[in-house]
Amino acid sequence: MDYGSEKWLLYFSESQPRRPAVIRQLLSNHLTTSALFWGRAYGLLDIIALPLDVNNFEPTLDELCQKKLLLETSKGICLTVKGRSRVEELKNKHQFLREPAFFNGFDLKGWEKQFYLLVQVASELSYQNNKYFAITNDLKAQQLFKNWFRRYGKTTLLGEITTSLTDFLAHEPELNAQLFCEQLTGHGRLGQTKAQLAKSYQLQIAEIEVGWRDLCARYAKYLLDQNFELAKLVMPYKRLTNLPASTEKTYSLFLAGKSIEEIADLRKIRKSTVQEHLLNVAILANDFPRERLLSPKIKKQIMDFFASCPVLDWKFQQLHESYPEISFFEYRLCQIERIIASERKA
Amino acid sequence: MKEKLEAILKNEFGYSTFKTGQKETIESLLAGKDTLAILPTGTGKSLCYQFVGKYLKRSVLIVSPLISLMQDQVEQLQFNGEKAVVALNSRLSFAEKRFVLQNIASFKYIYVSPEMLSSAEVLSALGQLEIGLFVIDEAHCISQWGPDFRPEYLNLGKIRKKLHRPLTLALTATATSKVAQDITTSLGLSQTGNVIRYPVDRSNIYLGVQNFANEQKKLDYLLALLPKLAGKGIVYFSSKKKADEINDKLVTKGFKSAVYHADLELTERFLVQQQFLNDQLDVICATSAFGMGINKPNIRYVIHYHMPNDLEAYVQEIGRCSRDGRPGIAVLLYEPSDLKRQEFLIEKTLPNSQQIKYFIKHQELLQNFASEETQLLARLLANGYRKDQIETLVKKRQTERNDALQKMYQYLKTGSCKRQFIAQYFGDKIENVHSSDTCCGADQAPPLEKLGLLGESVVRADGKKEQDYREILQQLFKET
Repeated sequence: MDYGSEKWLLYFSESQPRRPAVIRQLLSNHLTTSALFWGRAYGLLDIIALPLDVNNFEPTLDELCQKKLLLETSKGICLTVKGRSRVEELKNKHQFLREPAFFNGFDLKGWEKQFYLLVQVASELSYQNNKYFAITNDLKAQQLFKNWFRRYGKTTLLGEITTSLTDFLAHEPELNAQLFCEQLTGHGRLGQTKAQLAKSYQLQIAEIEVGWRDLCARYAKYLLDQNFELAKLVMPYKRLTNLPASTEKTYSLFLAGKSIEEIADLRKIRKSTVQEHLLNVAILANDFPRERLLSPKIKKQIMDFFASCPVLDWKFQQLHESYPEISFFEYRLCQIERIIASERKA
Repeated sequence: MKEKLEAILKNEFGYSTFKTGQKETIESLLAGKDTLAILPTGTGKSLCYQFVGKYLKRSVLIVSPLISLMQDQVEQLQFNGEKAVVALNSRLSFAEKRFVLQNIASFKYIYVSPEMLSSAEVLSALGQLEIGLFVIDEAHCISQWGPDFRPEYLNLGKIRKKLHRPLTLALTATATSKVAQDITTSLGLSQTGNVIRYPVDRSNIYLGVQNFANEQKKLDYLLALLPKLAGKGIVYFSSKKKADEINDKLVTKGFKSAVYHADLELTERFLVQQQFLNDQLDVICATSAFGMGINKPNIRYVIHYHMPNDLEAYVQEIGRCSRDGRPGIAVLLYEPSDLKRQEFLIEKTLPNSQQIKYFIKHQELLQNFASEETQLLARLLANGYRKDQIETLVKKRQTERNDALQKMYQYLKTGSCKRQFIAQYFGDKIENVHSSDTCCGADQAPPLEKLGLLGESVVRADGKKEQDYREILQQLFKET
């Protein structure tokens, strides 16, 4: 089995059984309330929309179980001791995404185009050439760059790009830096495609892809952390919110004081959909005003009922038998609150 | 006048003479005549409208059917220093589109997809402009009888009226007389218009066909032929998977080869295209996604591993060969299962009756599907076609496409002159048919030596030392 399949080990834990479907849904940006809930519980919200191919995900996990790298339990899949030591090996040997938060916090694809363009323009400028085919026709990237350039000029551009790339890459393993630079295009130099690099370095294309994205993301973070002026080209790619548009609408009505019924009426959607939207916000945003939806009395009843039970082992059915008046929505809100509180404690 | 035109050609475009049909087209337009120009591939059709735009110093609006083609043209203009150029198509985000429409008057060359042009918002922005020239590129798409029928193209006549009938140029490389008539009528050019037609024939390209008993034999032949060919070339496939597979074989054998198809990301497509244009690659394994707008004069061979669906596509694709006028070679490789593959592909790109029935009820779901047949269905529904009309149209298209494929099959099977066959199909009269053995041939070794195309083996070990990444950075950013 190759690295391509073993990379999934990185998303499992030795101490916490995890459901494969949740991981697949998070990776493929298929964000149901349940996927988000378990994602938060596993501490895996950072992996939302990671650019990895999840085709064949489950069959591959079966193979990893057969190799005793993973262990299937009734609550989900765990990493074995053998699996954990393989994870350590993988982290030393292979490319993996070390800044996953960047992928859902930023529009990485957009930044990639900006970065390609930035390198090309700086390179051509350093040779005083203005006759070349632009590597991207992306209007946003071109417009942002023009505005930046008008403000900071050629000296800042050339000074910062050489310093930042040299310093940033100096801390990377030699091979990673090499593969990264071979993909850059500028004056008298066309980058190599991922397939070409895979062939000449005898690596898999997937690995080249992951390495490129990882360095692209971390270079952006480096520019931000070190306060380069070039960081102003990264900021426009920051996503203002992770919430889908429809959830956002529901949430702003809720913040404006509307009740669940009123929102459902106004938006012509079902009450249960409004509740799902609000649960999603409660999972993603730490400052969600839960108290508006969860009375202290109900909260106390739930907490007392599950007093000695770990939060991820709570069962709604058990609660429902003793307190039929408590809704699943209230139960879930309380559970989310407990998970966030235990994260804070940790 | 004549000297003036040539002076502009030299100063603005850097050429000393016009290519076939360019001058006639430009003169016709400058005389104020709407023009349909049917010019062979490789004659620089886009220069005609770029020239007129420069001459009249007014905006040129170009309707273009393919996003990739649009992008190529925009890049080419930008490369030549023309910055006031934009492509209005579905790749723009909402904010970008708004920016472009608000600043529309600042662009000299505006490329627009027919779908975008059908939007009231876009049309009203364009209505404010004084359009110097309205161009319809790949105008054969207008015709219901053309091979690439696009329903939005049928609205162009109405749109032209709304834009106050600006001076119009319809351009195509391949139009039978029926298609040509349809173009002029739909656009309303028939009363005052001028039709300029040059034969599609490219006499400097040898036309070869090779038949094989099975695919393995075909592959063996390709692998034996490529090392013998001098210069750079393209091998066309109808399947991305096959293109990948053969490219892998070629790279393993030491060819400087790369693959180009729709699965590649845009930046990678850019890189492969530029590597090829800069002679860093010997051969490209491509699908039909490659080549529109590619202007590399010294492509010496175009090999088809799979047959195209019609002669129009074949002539377009081999037309990328030897645009500098020197000898080039086109070889079509055929084995019996190829015909079935193309029949299947044709069937797959048209919606079947079940799909029509389903999506008419669930039109909102169509946006989730990107396949060719669902896209066509979406366009037809958006243009107000009813179920029975769609069914009739699809049936008709199926028959037409199968007929066109049969013509393609006849071309590869004909025992007489291939060049003559193409000329007859397009209704062209060509004079020196089959003058020598460098004209065409079937199942015989192409006369590479006579054509000056016999090369030394391009297969070589690459002795180039890899640059260290620090050296790459030093090369990229010259110290000042």
